[in-house]
Amino acid sequence: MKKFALPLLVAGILLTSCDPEKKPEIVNLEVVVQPVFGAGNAPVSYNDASYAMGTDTVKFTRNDFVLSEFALLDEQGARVDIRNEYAYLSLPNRNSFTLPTTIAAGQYAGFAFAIGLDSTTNHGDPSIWGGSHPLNPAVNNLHWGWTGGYIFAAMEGYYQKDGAQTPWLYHIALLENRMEVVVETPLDLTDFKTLTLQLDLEKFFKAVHALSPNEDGDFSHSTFDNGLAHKLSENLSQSFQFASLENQTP
Amino acid sequence: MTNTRWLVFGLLTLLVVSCGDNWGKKPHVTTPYVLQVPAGFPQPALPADNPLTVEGILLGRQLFFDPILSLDSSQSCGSCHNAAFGFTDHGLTYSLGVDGSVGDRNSMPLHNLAWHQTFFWDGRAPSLREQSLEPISNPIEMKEDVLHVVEKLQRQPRYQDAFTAAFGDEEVTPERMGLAMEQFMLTILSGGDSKFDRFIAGTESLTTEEALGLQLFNGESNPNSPTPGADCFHCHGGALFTNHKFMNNGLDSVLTDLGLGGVTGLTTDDGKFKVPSLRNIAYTAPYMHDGRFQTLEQVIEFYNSGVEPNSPNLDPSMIGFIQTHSGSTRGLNLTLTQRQAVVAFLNTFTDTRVETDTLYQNPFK
Repeated sequence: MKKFALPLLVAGILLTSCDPEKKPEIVNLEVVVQPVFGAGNAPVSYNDASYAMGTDTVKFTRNDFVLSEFALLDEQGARVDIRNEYAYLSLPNRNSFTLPTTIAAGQYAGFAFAIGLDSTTNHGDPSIWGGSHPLNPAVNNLHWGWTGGYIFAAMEGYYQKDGAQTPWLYHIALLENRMEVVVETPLDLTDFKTLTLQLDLEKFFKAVHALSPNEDGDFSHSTFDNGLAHKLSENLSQSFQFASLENQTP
Repeated sequence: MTNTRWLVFGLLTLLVVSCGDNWGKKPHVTTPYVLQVPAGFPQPALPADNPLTVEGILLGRQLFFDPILSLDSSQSCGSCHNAAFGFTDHGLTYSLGVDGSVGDRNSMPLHNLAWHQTFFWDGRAPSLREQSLEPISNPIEMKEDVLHVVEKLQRQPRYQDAFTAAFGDEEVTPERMGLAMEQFMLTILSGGDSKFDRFIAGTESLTTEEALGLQLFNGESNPNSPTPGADCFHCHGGALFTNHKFMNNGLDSVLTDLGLGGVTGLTTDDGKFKVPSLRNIAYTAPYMHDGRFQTLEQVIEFYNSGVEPNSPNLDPSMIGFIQTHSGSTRGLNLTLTQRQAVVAFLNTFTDTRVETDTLYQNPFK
């Protein structure tokens, strides 16, 4: 009997490790952001397509973001923070990021993140970040250089003004305009999943405040703008919505 | 297992290992080169598949300055990218090819390329290694067949030695040529020792005029702002003084050069060109993709009064130039004093290392 002990042990370990039903104890989470427009969630076509926005017709050319302070909401609604992670999105091409395999597998009630950075990180030395890090200014082109700090959201495009295509540009920055985004939805994260969120760009102009490039101003660098950037930041924080949660494809 | 079996097993293993391709060959040893990133610069994302080595850089420099790359051995890369002119072409608007053909764009300055992801004014090369080979076969530049260059290099003992030192054997391939020239060009830096850098480091002061220029450079052009700004920093911000993007800055109302649009085929990219770094700008006249402005004063005057608000695909970042503090819709409308201050500040970006660093000099002289 003794001579069978070792082979049996090995076979047992092999069988256990090959159990297709075994779920991981920790998982990562891929997050994809899809830009859409309006109630029909029509995919946004950048640069060329025009979208009716009240009395305006707008095009989108740039939606770049610095994201931080990711968290899942547990079933009691408490935050489960995913610390020291940052992401840079430049829609539509760079539209995803993956949070590391440190998330306790389980059921959650939502996903949260900040658009922008805390004051310390925002005003820290940008040269410390590695060559491909989301906060490296050469990667994101969102750092304001010697004046310090990052643009949290760079939203740009064109609109029709007096029959002519005219630029609009909103660069949302400064701590008072940092945005908290919370998407409440049941999330089964018992395995490695891809969470797809939609960014409804119509809501960017009207989720909280109905704003128009023609009537409310077509540019802001977050200062001397009569509070426009702050209103836009409140809109933007309410512009994300759940789309899907699927198993990651190998 | 008995001792004899262990011995046989060991000998067989030794035989298998010793039959590898490298048996009897000396290991190829190169000397790693650490790029000295200037203070305040972001970290570069250097190509992982082409680590910098002294041997690779020296081979790349040799290729860069060798006219053997051209059809009649009259031109090297360095002919149109001269270190004494910030690696541009001697103040020429357009460079001349080997047969006298006139180029169609201004020679771009070569520095801080380690932070770039696309190359040429229109972004048609996705890597430096590809960029470096393109002028060889370009019919208005070196007009040579890259494979013929390979043949010529293979016949030269000094290149047999240099390729062996860099890559382990003397085989010359276009890919290896590109990798070596990429390594050399990645080492060309501008920054760390300009007056501006010394000011940031706290070791030198700006003059009153330069300080005003700094303030204007980083100042927003905004009708609601109490003070005027030159709004330079949106496109030329950060330690590298570029955002590395492709933009239309409103030079023309009718486009004669499509720029990025000519590469992508998208009309929404028409008129967009790479935003150049302003580092060493005093060296690199004339300015713009077509070299239309001979002086920095002319450049500032364009941004002051010549911006075309109806230029197709005018970048939204140019909005401060068509909605200005002064009410002008064609530019900043700064005073002469303010314009001169901006030019004075731009001149603080000059880093003479480009002229003095022996690494950047032509090894054939």
